[in-house]
This record gives sequence, C-alpha cells and structure tokens, in this order.
Amino acid sequence: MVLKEKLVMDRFAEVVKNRHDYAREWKQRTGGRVMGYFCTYMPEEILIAAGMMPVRILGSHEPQDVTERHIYSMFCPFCRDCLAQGLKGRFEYLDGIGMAHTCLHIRQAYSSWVLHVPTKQNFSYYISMPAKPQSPRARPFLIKELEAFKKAVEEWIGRPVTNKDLDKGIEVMNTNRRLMRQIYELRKADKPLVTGTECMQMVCASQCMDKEEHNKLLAEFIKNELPKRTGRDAGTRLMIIGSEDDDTEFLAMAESLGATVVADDHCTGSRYFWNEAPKSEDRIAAIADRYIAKVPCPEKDWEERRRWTHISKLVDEYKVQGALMIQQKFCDPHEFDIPPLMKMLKEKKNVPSLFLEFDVTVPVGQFRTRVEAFLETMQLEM
Amino acid sequence: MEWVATWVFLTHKWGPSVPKTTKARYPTKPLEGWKHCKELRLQHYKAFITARDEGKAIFTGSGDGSQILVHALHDSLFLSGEPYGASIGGDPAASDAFSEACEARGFARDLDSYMRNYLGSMYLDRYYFGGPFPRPDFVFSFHVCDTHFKWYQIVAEHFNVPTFGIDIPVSGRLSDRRESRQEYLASQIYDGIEWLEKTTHRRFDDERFIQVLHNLTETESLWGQICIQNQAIPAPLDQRALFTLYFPGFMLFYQPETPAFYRELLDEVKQRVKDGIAAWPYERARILHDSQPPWHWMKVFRIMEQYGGVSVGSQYAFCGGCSFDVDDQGVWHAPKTIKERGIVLQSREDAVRFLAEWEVGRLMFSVFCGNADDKNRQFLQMVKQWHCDGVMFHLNRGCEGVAQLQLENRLAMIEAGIPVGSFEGNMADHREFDEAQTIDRIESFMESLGLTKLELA
Ligand code: SF4
Ligand code: SF4
Repeated sequence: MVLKEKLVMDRFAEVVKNRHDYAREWKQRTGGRVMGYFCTYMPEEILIAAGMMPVRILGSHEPQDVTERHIYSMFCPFCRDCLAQGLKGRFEYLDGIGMAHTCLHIRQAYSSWVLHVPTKQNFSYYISMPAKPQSPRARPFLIKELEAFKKAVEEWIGRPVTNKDLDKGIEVMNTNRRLMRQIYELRKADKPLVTGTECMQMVCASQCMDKEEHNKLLAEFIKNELPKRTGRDAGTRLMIIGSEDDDTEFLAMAESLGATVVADDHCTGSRYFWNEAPKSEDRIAAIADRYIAKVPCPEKDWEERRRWTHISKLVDEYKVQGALMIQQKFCDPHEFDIPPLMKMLKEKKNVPSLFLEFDVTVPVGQFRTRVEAFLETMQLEM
Repeated sequence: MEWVATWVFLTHKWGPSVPKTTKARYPTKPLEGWKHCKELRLQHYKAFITARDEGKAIFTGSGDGSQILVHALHDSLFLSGEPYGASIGGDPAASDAFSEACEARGFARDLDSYMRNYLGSMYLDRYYFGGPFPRPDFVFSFHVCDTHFKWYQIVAEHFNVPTFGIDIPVSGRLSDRRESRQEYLASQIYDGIEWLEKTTHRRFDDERFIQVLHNLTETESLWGQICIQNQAIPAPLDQRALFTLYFPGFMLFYQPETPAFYRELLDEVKQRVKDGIAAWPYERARILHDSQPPWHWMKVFRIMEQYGGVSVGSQYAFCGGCSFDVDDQGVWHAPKTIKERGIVLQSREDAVRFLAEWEVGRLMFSVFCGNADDKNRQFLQMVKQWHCDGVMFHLNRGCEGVAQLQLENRLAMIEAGIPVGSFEGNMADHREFDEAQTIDRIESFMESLGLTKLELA
C-alpha cells in the first residue's frame, strides 16, 4: 500500500478501505501475530504488550446471505455483517480471536466465528467483562479476569508478558487516546478544523491498524497539517449517538447539507477511546480501571445512567444543536436507551433528535431527505 | 433447503419405526395436580391486589433468582416480569393493548415481548389480574440477560423508586473460572443484602434466608425428578403441562406449599408411569422443543399430536425450573437438596456462598455464555435421555435471550444426525405469528419423521 505521499486523513481512509491488505503486509513486515476482537471492551493493552496487533472485526456494508444458517435474522445486521466477513474468509490472516462480554448480538458472531472460522493459531478467548461496571465489586473481578487472560496469552506466545511489556501496551494505547482526544478538541471551535467524517475514519483506522503507526500519523497531522487548515463554517452543529456505526458515506452526506458533526457517542467514536488507563504499579489493575471507567455501552449502563452525564457534557462542550440517533436495526441495547435519551435531550438540553434506523446498507437518498427536513425544522426554531 | 433432505435421509436412522395407526396405544387421564397448580398461580397474582392494605412491600425484577433475597425480608411480594408478561401474552387482546401502549412511548416493537406487555400494563396502570398496576416500592433484580436490568431501569424511573441490580457473571463456558465468578457474585449478594436492609428499613432475616434456600433446592430437586419421570415411554406429561406446572417452582419456591405440591405431583406422575398413563394416548414420536412457546397459540403442540408427536420437554421447562446435576458421563440427574449434599447452612456467609455457587452453575445460563458448545451438549443429552426423535425450534422473536445461538444449536443437531424442524413466532406477541405457515412447517416436519396424520374421532 503506497501511503506516504497522501495527507494523513486520506491515509486513514485508505487503511480502513484496505484493512486486510494492511494487516497482511504488517504480518509480513513484522512477523507478528494479529488478533481479531469484537466490541470495544477488549483490553488491547495486553495484546500490544504481547507484541500483537489487535484489529476490530467490522462489517463491510454489503448484502450477504452467508450468516442465515448461523444467526437468526432477529439479531442486529452489524453482528451478522461481522460474522459474514469471517465466513467469507476475509480475515483469514487472523492468528486468534477474542471478545470481552458485551451485548448478546455480537456474542453470537463470536460464538459462530469460533465454531466455523478457523484462525491460524487456533486461539480464542472470552473475557467475562462485568455487565455492571458500576458495582464496586466489578473491579476486583475484572482484575482476575485480565490476569487469567494475560496468562492465556503468555501460554499462547510461549513467553511471559512482563511489566515492561505492559507499560508499553498502556503507553501506546494511552498516547493513541490522548492524541485522538486532542483532535476531537478541534471540533469545539466555532469553525471546526476537522469534520465528523474525518474523525470517524481516524477512529476506525485506529481500530484496524498498528497503534504505534497510527500514533505517528496523528502526531504528523497535528504538527504538519493542522496549521495549514482554516476550519469550516460549522452550520448546524450535530452530534451522532447510538449503535455501532462506521458508515462514513452517510456522515459525509449529512455534513454536505450545511451541518457539521461536532461530537459523538458511539463505539467507532468517543466511546472507544475517551478515557485513559491510570498510572499504577499494578498494571493489570490500571487496565481494569480503564475499562471499568470507560464510557459505557447502554448494555452496561445501570443502575445509574452515566451515559446521560457524559452525553450532556459533550452537548455543552461541543455546543451541540441537534442529535442524530443512529440505531442498528434490532439493536436492543440502544432501543432501550433511545426513547428516554431523546426525551432527556429535548427537556434538559433543548436538543432535538432525529431517529434513523440503520441496516447493512443505508438508503442514503431517503436519509438525505430526512436529515434535510430535520435541519430545516431546526433552523426555523433557532 | 438442503436440511429438509437431511431430515428425510436421517429418518432412517432416527425416525420411529412404529406402525401407522389411529388406534390409541396407551391409556390417558387428566392430571389431578393441574387444578391445584392453576390455583397457586392465581393466588400469587391476586395477592398483589390486596398487598398494600395488608402492609406488604412490593418488589419487582426479573426471573426467579432475584426474589431469593427479597423473601428473607418479612411481608414482601415479588412481581417477576417475565411470567407476568407471559400471562398477558396468552391473551392477544390484552397483549395488543399493552404492547401498543409501550410502543407508543417510543420502544421498539422488536424488544422482548414480555417486557412490552409488562411496561404497557404499567403505563396504562392496568393490572392484568384486576385493578391498577401494583406500584412497586423497590426494584431489585438479578441480571443475566441484557434485557433484565435495562427493563427494570425503566420501571424504577417510571415510579421513581430505589433500585438495585446484581450481575450474574457469565463466561465463555459454564465451567470457565467458576470460583472467581462465584466470588464476584457472592460479594454483590452481600451488597444486595445491605442495600435491602438500608433501603427498605426491614430486617434481613438470616434464618428465613436459609429456609428459603432449603425450599429452593427442595423444589428444584422435586421438579428435576418430575422432569426425569418424563423420560418414560409413553411420556406421562406433555410440554404444555410442563410449561404450566413449572410455574410454582419458578416463582413460588420460597413458600413451603410449593415443595408440598411438587411432592404430591411427583407421586402422581410416578403412578402414571407405573400404570403406563400417557399424556397423549397416540404417542408415536417424541419431540424436544426449544424456547418458550407462543403462549397465544399453544396449538403448536396440538398439531404435533395430530401426527402422534408428543413434545416431551425443553431446556426452558426443564432448566428454567431447576438446575440439574450433571455427572462425569454428562448424564443429568435431579439436583440434590442442601441436606442431600450434606451441607449445613448455619450463617449468612454459608448461605451466600451456597447461593452464589448454585446460581453461577445454572444450566439455563449456558445460552448467555457466548459459546454454543455448552447448549449443544445439553441438547444432545436431552435428546438421548428423553428418547427424542427430533427437535422443534421455536425461533422466538420475542426473546432475544433464549433465541441466541438457536441456529447454531440447530446445526449441531443436524450434524449429529438428529432431525430438526423450526417455525418462527413470538412468545407473547401474536402479531408476529403466521398461523398457516406454522401449521405447514410443523406438518412438514412430522411428515419428514415418517408420520402421517392420525384419523382421530
Ligand atoms: S450494541 Fe447494538 S449494534 Fe452493537 S452489536 Fe449489540 S445490537 Fe449490534
Ligand atoms: S431471556 Fe428473554 S424473556 Fe428473559 S429477559 Fe431476556 S429477552 Fe426477556
């Protein structure tokens, strides 16, 4: 892949588009292992510490019929699209596969993957990530889970993962988070220097490429390219909230209608990287702390609604005027949260929302009309 | 449809080689315990109508386990969401009104149909068993399915009442890192007890807690024995009966009347086995069912019966009512009671430890583990022990929890040479049910087993 002469954001888009070639080349170049994972609760720190490249399993937005025998059609299109990638052999280079306990839709993609998609080194692992991170009991439990995971990884790679390795894993991940937050900060400006589409490409790229390389590109962007940018008229300041969504085509369309997506709460966005692992002598405990304090997925957000606090803060800081509620069809976790969340945003923040249901492919034309109508109504009210 | 061909092929191996006949093969008679069971259920629901006048506290939450701790407090009632939603699901008119009221508040139509029935009944302030919705004083719930606490979060906010949830940890396999999961659960149980005392200002009675656990294991053990009796040919009970009879065990295990009722029921079922009394006198094939039934259309079992097929059980009815003990060979046995295990519970610590161990090992939770292997093994074992000729999957759009992995289980059965059939539906929302298609699918399945329709008078 020839990436050098392109601008950083284009390079991110390129990697996302050719993620499999990228991973294969990486393996050839480094001789390292690639571990696939589902959802954003996988402690990538441990994998990086073990010298691996973690890559998130994402779909390809193409209609498919290979999952019909495995996952019933009542489950979300995203989990089926993910499994389809495995069944079609697109991740044939993976050495192992894993996930940390999250929603039951994606759990099935993992289960079926383990049964039907061989990995090069036949390694699979399921971490029992607590469903109630708000419980003070979740932390000690997760520490044990992560210790067991680290041990399994050590057995797999045939060497210990030392504190020094873990320090590196934590540092690489934290740097990545810090740099991406720094770029998100640019969206607070009246004339944002980055678009929502670029940010989504950036986060997706982080999920499918070598993190150290991603960090280098982020630093290069901040140092060399950012000073040359002039910013854009924000138009209506939007936030996207909801299920997994890596549909940059939709976002680009929304941003072409006199609006800018200035913030998000989704898992190929801020939910992935918002908080860092704290400094601690006990590295595994620090990693556990990071995932316990992570901006929660709705499935893990009870009894208190901590998502509401996070979203409200983003609304204030990024001066959000309207929200696009993006929900994968049949996505129960978000189906529970969206009605009360829309109510809260309207009543407490005076932020109107537009609800959009996503499938594997998105009817961009139809959505364009709806987004246009939404923006028009908002302008009348503003 | 290559699997249709597979069924036909496999029928030679698995299909029952019985002569086609319309003559009754076995005697039958109604079950005596049936009426008593229905009364126990109705009494339970009616109790909520007068609860307030009697100074009782009302709790609500999920499933069965959630109430174990609640009943260590005196004068408490527990409204469990799923059975309540199922009761409504059996009545299409009520279910329409309630689920539409829930959907009108923005909740998606594909969410758990028990939950939509429950929430609609709450929003309309109409209790299905009469009067206004029993306003809970507290929400206290175990959480193992993703739906569980998200459901009760909405309830707690609606009534603005205190709430506490306990996360039942599941992992890739039921056996994985069990001790650590038990410890996590036990620590949350202590927190739950503390919360109950602080929030309700009622004393958590350890003696009562221990007694509830004794009742629980006794009830589960008896239910297990009743299920095991159904391995007999002909089956003394059918799936419809099991789905009704498991209610007291699932919901009322804390009261001494329940083990007493199950003891009588066990005696009756044993006698039926001894006398060769069948649930269905024309039993020619035995079918394992998967998932909850469509409560609004229990006729699914009648269609099978018209071909001589008897649904003899399901993971849901067996394991929803008890957690079987599995020996080294994988054979299921009725679970031993606390006493039979030689365990003496003397303190809160003993009781909490025991409860955590019991809950973490529940066979029913295999479905939540993110791994199809455990449930596949369970299926194979049930087919073997209950002498089943095939498995019928209700692909249940109403329950994401139990529907997960169903298709993987189906594939595993096909691979093992076991005939499988399936129909789509929704346990508690009749709007998602196609009667003609369901009949067609069940009939085709029965025919693929080599059975023809009986000529019944
Ligand atoms: S959270 Fe929603 S989008 Fe993500 S896997 Fe679960 S159901 Fe699908
Ligand atoms: S297991 Fe099914 S019925 Fe129970 S809470 Fe989950 S979705 Fe609802």
